Amino acid sequence: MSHIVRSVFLNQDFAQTSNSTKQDLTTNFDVVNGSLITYNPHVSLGYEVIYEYNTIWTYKDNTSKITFRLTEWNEGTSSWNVINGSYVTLKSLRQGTGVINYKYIFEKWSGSKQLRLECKDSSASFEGYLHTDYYQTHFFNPTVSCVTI
Amino acid sequence: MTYVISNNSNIYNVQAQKASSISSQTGTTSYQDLDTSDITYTCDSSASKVVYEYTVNFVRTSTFGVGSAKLLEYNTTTNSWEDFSNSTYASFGLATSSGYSRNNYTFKFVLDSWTGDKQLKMQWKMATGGLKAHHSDYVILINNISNSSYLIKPFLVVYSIK
Repeated sequence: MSHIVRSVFLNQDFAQTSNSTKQDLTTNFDVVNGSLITYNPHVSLGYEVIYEYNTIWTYKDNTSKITFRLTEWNEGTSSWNVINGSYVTLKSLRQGTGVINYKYIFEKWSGSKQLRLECKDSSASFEGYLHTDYYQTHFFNPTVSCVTI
Repeated sequence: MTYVISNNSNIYNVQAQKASSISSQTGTTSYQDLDTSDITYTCDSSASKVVYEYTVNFVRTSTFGVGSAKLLEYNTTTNSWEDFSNSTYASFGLATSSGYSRNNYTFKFVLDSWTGDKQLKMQWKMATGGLKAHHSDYVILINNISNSSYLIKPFLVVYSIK
């Protein structure tokens, strides 16, 4: 059976970063490796933009509590601004590990915009690693994408 | 089933499959195939990336459990399955006692494109503790009755990006 459908996913941009190490988070917000993207939404079609970031994580301490936030580059002030409502906290007891599928939806904008994800451990005793698995022998290549819908 | 997507999109050649019937798969220390993850995908020369996205549920069979999953490709020269790469592994769950692991996961791998057919699948095994795939812990059905043997069908979506 085949279907022909009108797509609502437009101008998807992808970036993938090769990784040969884990990212050891700190209690200060740091840039999440491979999360930076510069995106131009579709000019004439669509109303929203979805930002999506994928990687894996594993525990460092028995409890991990990791906070993510999305930021955008402000040309006027030459600084990264935190996007309202973009904070997400991952908390896991008992040596957790898993996948991260972070998504955020914007109203569509005109022109180019730079976006990146930042994250930190909530405390020095609730730490975790990004881009590696339970064994810490495999290193995931994180991907970031934006698409107009 | 094949979906052809057009109209100003750079996403195309979307193939999706969902299990028609399913049994739970109990994890062991050896890799086993994940149901419905096996696909032969035809990639054309205009693709830059291929996205492989598999969604599956796991639940504990003991007080804790961590599973390890990986993507494989079929080598038609050696007629054998090989790991796709060292960066297409993922782990999931909770590793110590009273970490009652149960969750739904989407494993998303973005792959460099190829020309022609390639057969892909996922496998998983236990890293520690016990889990079973495709099973929920328990759910409340619409008639308000709890069901502790509810099975959740996995599904796979694969598509190309120009």
